[in-house]
Amino acid sequence: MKNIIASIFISAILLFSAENLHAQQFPKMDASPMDLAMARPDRNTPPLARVIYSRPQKKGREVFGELVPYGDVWRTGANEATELTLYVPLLIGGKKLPAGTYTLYTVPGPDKWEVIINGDTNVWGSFSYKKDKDIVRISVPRRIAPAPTESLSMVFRPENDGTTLMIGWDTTYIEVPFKQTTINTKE
Amino acid sequence: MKKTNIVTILSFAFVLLISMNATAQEFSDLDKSPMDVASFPTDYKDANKLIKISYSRPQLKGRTLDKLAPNGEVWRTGANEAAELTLYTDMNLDGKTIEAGTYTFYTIPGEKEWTAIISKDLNVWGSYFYNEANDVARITVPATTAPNSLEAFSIALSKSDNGVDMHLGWDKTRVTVPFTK
Repeated sequence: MKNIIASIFISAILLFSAENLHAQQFPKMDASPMDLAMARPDRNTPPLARVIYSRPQKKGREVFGELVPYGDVWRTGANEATELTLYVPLLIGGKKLPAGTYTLYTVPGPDKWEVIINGDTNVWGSFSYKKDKDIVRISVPRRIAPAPTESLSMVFRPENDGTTLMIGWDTTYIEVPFKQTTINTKE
Repeated sequence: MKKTNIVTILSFAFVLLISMNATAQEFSDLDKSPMDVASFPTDYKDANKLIKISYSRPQLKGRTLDKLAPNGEVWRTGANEAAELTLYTDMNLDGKTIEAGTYTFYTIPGEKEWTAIISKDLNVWGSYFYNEANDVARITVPATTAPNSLEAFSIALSKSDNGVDMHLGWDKTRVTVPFTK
């Protein structure tokens, strides 16, 4: 009898832990889901650039100056910091960035934002931000959007000479211009 | 004079409307099948990754897996853009070496076994453009059934004896793809 009880207990424990293992192994949906934006001159051309970022939502909160403080390095999203991939070399702020993967940080401000392209990758948050890994920093004006966006949003706008990354949340947006280098056409 | 004023006001309103629309429409809403990423080592503080996979997470919403990802057909392994696999070091899959790099991770679901495909394709939407000539490696692995159902398609990575296991789960189906060092 004791043996039977013991085996029931053991199998219950085993079953429970197996269930737990399964339940824990797979992640829940993220409250700030990831998204991606591609810079493609048109549908069938190879991409110039891509960003992968997480999309926190305003949820009635004051965003810039409160939730996202002015003057601090921001992961430009949530969870993992925003990842920027260039598929061709592009110019930003007069500096030529080789094709590759970078982290895109920003420092929001009431009038101006700093945009930082940093050489570290796969970083979580901005806690491990290292200034000495900066590749380029540019300052762009803060712009007022005609309509507020609930979720942090990014989109590439095609330009004749490159692409402009637009980053918007709440009533704020910024434009980050990337220019194509003339070398591209030869390569 | 009056006519000119009206024309000016009208064209001003028109331009304003267009520019407002332009900005409002350029940003997209949250995706119904949001992206997610799984990486190994799983500790978020560890930026020195071996494997990373980004994928989109469709939900069952009362449907079944065999309807959403039919058996025997190449599947994007998620939704929207096909799943993207990055190896930061050379890994083995079924005895075949896959060089460090970025690939598309397709699968072919099946009742008893699934086939995982590592392809040189990049930045593809769906599986419509799948080209077998770009295959780098393929492995066939058994499909198992779990007692609990997962509403959203899920990928998790875990340590194995000699590498990293990639677990795929949706509905009650579970599949493990073993990457070895």
